[in-house]
Amino acid sequence: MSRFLLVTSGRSLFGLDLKAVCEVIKEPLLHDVPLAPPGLMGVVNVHDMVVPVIDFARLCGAADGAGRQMVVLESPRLALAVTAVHGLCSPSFRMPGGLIRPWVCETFICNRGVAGLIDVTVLQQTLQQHLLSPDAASMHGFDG
Amino acid sequence: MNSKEYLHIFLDETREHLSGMQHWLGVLTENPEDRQGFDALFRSVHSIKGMAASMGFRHLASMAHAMEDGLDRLRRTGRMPAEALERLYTGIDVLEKGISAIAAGRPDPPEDLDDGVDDASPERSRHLRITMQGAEPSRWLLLVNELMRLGTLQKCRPDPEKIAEGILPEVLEAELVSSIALQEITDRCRGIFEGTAVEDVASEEAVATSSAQDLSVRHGVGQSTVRIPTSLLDRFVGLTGELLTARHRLQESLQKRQEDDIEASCRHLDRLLGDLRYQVLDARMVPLEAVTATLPGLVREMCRKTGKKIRLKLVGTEVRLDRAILEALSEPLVHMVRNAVDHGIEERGTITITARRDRDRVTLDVEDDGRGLDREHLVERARQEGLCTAGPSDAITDAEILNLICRPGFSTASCLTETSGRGIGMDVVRHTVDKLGGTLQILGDRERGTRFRFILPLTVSIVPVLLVKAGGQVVAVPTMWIEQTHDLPDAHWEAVGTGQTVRLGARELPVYVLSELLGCPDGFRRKSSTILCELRGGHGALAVDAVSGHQDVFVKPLSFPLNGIQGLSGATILGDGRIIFLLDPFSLLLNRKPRAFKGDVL
Repeated sequence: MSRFLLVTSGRSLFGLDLKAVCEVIKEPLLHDVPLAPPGLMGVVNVHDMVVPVIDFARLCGAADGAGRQMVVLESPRLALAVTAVHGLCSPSFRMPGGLIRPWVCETFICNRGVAGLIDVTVLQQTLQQHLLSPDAASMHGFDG
Repeated sequence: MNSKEYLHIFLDETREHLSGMQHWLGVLTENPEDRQGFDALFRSVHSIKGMAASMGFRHLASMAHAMEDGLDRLRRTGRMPAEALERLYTGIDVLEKGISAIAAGRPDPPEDLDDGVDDASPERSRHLRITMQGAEPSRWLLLVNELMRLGTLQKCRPDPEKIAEGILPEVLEAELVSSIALQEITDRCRGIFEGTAVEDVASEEAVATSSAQDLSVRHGVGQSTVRIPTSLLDRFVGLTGELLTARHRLQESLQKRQEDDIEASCRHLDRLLGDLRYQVLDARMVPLEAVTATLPGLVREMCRKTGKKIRLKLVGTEVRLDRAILEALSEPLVHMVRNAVDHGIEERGTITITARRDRDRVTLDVEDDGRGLDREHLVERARQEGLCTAGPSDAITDAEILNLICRPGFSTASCLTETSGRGIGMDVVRHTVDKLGGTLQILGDRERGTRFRFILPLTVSIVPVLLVKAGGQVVAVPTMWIEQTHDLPDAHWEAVGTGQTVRLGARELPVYVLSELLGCPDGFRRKSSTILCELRGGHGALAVDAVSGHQDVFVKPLSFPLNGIQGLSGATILGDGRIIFLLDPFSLLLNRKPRAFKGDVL
């Protein structure tokens, strides 16, 4: 049976496939990136690797997320700043497709409520399309 | 035997032999009686033959065998005639194509690669796709049987046993080594079942893959593998052991709280790490000939097309450089040689590439004895474009000429015919050299011809940087971009239009505030004096809040999304764990001030 890592960003619940997650870091030291686009919070030093931190709340459409917990993804090597990491969960009811966000590939029910399963590949594509685009500054997140 | 692991070794070693053969053919061109050259060529081709045969590449082995025979006859005469040389070059080309085909996953090169080999076996490998619509299992089995009679059936998909079990394929794929023509094979198959269709997909694939693979052979350093001598690996093992011992010693000293011992252990660790760093970097080094080996072929090809008689002389190409530098250098070198053949030398001449190591730098000269750069025309053109003021053309320095020909778009079609046309791709060449932390120069100390000099670092992994503060951030500016730093009183500033300039002696330099370029417009506070980092080439200066140090840093390449931010060239982690970004001031200026370079060339 699959188990997901359950996280909260703002008020929304999300699940991440364990295979896509490298590690979780609590409040690491965030370093500034010159000329960083709005969705890029900075970088963190993870075992001597420079890992960019994505403002996940902003990606979800919130004005200011500033999550202090980081979920480091396996590939691409990115960290998602989230509000809270709840640990592992077993989804009890799964439905394909997300409602609004293209990078949510499944909706499932867990003990904390209804959550969206993140498709890391689509998430990366969304970031590639929107994060560095010239209109990134004006947009509220990247919810295309 | 044909496993991937062995295949890689086979391909690497064969390429190495082929590149060595190119070198020795060059030597024999100079001196047709060079005994060492004969022996080396013979040894290489003999090795290729043996390796190819043991890998089961019969075609390649037979080609090498034919060359070996020819070389043996020549060796007995003790002299290399020009026509034999030409034939051997062709032979090497054929072998290279064969290697490309094998690297592309083809079991053996197609038939048309046999040109240039006298007594190659007529056998060839075919990749057949056979369909027999509506045929019974027995017919399929008969077909497999027939194929086995027609030649050596190396592979058959699906397995004949599966067919015997009644699992019938839509298409049967077979790799058949046979000397029989395709038509004959088709006829024989049709004898078993009327509606049989036979298609040989090997030749189509060969055409499709050969061009792509040519590239990988030409740019041999582009591969992700480096061959390392076992002695170096032994040194790594030794160093690892020493590091472990040093760590234990340090732990013990820490437990005992003996300060002197801790300090001594740290010093020892430092020395070992320095040693390790040197050895690891050395393992990445590849001889320059990895990129120059293909140049003789390029020159020969161009001579054939243009009818010119040009000799390429390679000197000191055994010098070793970082693989990353060589990969980047490959294209600029081809540009330079092409330009020299196309525009530098008129009918007959020599292009010389000389490399030499000078402590932690490598100097690479590319020179030709052609007509040289037409300064008059270049200067006239620069004047037409408003790039320089009136004055005698001989007053222009070599550096200014280089700036001119390296301007993007300067070498237009008319320029190409009026002058020697060296502008083609020179902006790309210079940009590549700049990015590597090297410099490009024109040396005008010659009566005829042109000499370009590349001065390159041995490695790009460790870069000396200046740590500067700007808008509350610390960033690193590689010192290769900085001419010098100045501490200037405020009075020297002058506002010109929307920008600012600073007067340095007789010169006026445009000044860019780094904190503004980095997107913190309020970060810069005018003080009684300002630190300026003057950029190389006289393009301008960066005003920074403070200079906080100078050090050699290990550069980490940037991943997504950092690699998309214009102006950043890498990152590094300092001893205290801080992540600092390296800036590329020129792309930073291009990003923010697209007109920054306009008109400031001469």
